[in-house]
Amino acid sequence: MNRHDHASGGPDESGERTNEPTPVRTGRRRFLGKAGVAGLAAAAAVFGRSTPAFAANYGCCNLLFAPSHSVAQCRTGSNYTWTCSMNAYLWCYCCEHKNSYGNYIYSSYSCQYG
Amino acid sequence: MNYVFGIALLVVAAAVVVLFAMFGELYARIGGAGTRDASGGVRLLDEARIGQTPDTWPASLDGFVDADLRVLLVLSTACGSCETIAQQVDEDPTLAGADEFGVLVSTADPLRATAFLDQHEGLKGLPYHVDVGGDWVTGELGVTTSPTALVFKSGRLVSALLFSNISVLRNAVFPIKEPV
Repeated sequence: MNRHDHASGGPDESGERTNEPTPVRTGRRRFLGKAGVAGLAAAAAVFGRSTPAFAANYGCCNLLFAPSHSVAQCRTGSNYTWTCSMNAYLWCYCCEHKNSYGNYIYSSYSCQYG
Repeated sequence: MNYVFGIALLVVAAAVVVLFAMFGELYARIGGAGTRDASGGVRLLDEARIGQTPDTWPASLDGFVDADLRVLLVLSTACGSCETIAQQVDEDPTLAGADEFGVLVSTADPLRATAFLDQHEGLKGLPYHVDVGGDWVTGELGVTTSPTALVFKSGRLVSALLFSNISVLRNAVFPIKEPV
C-alpha cells in the first residue's frame, strides 16, 4: 500500500485499499463541491459589490483628490473649504485648492474633537 | 488535568470576547472613523448669524421669504456624512413634496452637485439650490458646516442646528402638537 492509495482509496472486502471511489464518497464530493460553489457565489454577491464612486473619503470629507497638503497650505489662494461633522464631537475641515486657472489641483483635510 | 486546561481555555475565550465588546462600546462612544451618529440628536451651530434676514434669496428658495416656518437643509458634496442625510431623505416618503423643507447643496464643482442630486432623487423632490463655493450660505448666513438645518421664520434665521438624523431633526423643529 502506498501513500496515494491510502489517500484516495477505501478498504475492500479483503482489507486492502483500492482506488475506486465508493458511491457514498462520490456523492459527498459532489455535495461539498456544490456547497463550495454556492458559498463562493454568495461571497461574490455580498462582498463583490462596488462602493459608491467617491474620489476619496477621509474622516467625513469627500475629497476630489487624496490629501497631499496641509489645510493651511490649501487655504492660501483660491479654495473651497467646508466643515463636516461626523458626530457631536468630531469635526473635519475639507479643503479643495484651485490653481490660477480655476482648476482644482489638490485636496487636504484635518479633523479635530471639539 | 484536561478539565482544568479546558476550563482555563473557556475563561480566556470569554475574557477575549468581553475585551472586544468593551473596545466596540468605547469605539462607538467616541465616534470612531467612519461612524455616523445616526441616532444622535441636534446641536446648535454657533457660527450661524442668528437673527439675520438674507438680503437676497436664490429663486428656488423664495418660498422661504414669507413662510411661517421653514427648514433649509445645508448639505455639501465635500461632506461624506451628508450622504447619510441624503439617503434618509430618499427613504422617507413623508418628505416628498414637504413644503416646510428645502435643500441647499454647497459644492466646489457644479457637476458634482448635479451627480449628488441625481443620486438622491428625494432631494430633488424638495425646493433645492446648488450653491457653488457655498457663496450664498456663507456670505448671507455665515454657515460653512454641514449637515446643518437652518430654521427660518418669515425669512429670518431663527436657529441653526447640526443634525445627523432627519427624523430627530423633524421632531425637534416640528414637535407633534396633537395627543397621540
